[in-house]
Amino acid sequence: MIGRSGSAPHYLEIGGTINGTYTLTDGTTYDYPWIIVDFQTVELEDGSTYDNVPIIQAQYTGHEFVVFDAKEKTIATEATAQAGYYYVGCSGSTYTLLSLSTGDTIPYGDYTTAIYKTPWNSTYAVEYGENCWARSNLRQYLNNSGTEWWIAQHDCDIAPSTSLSGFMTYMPSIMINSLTPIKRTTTRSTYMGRTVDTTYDKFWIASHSEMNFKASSLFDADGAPWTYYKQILNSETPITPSTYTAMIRYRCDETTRATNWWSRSANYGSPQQFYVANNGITSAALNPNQSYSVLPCTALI
Amino acid sequence: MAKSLYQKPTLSPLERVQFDNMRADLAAEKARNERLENALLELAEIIASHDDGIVELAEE
Repeated sequence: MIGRSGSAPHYLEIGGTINGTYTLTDGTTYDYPWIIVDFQTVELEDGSTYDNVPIIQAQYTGHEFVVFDAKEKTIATEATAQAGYYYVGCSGSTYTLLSLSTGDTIPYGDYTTAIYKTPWNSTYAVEYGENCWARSNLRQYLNNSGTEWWIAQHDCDIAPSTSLSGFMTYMPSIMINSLTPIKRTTTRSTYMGRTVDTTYDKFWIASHSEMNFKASSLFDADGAPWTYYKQILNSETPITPSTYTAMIRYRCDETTRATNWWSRSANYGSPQQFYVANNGITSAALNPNQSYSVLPCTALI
Repeated sequence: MAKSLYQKPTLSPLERVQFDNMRADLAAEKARNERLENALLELAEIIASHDDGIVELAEE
């Protein structure tokens, strides 16, 4: 396998492309080139590491808009508050974090819509979904095929309201079968503890720090900057997110239609998730329950 | 896989994204021109079909 030899940088270049295809279920096929964005030391799930592995990112987004994570509206039914959970009362569009201790009676009659249970001391996950890559719907979308790609990742996980097929549906099986999951780390937002998740996936999305943006009071550094982004942003060192037309990306089915695409980075002080806007704004974030495009990444290993 | 399907870059990464942006700008301009052209054609048809009416109004 090319990526395991350590010699890939001798005959592949940053900015070079690996030809690919994106085939819809009706047989319509689009060109789907993968750009070589970096050479990295990568770690596999068994702990083995390989140097100089080519990291590739799709040049175009897919043809769909995908939710990052659905609102976690898990309706409570128990009579009394359970240990390890918080409760959110909802009347219409007003959400209230209830002050309950384990064993307290849950005041169902006080709220007209429902009372939801959540593992977080916050209403955010219930109102907007979780801005957390490791637990996200999007991560599952990218790493599965067919329409049954969602499986609950935790006991308050709610299925996204979508009939989309998983991203792997559109990729050639020869490609899927040749890929190996690699390690990524991603920091959670403050309300989820600001801890770091480790994930192993065949497909994932870039973080803001991998796109050569400087960690700040908005997001943490999750991965070193990629050479490709240093080149297109014309900076050897990480820069402040702003508007950069070089960050605009297009859809594979409409290569002149710019689209918003998700980042892996959470806006840690808020319930929101970063994205890159269709006009090149990279400083914006949006609630995870919204749907945007994705630029999948993978490693040639 | 990479050897047979690999395309060496002919543009630098920055030139490549600039090319994609220019292509999109041109497509948008072409679409604007087509819309304008269609609107002008529609207007011409409307004027032609109401020619008598316009003359009558002008006479009044």
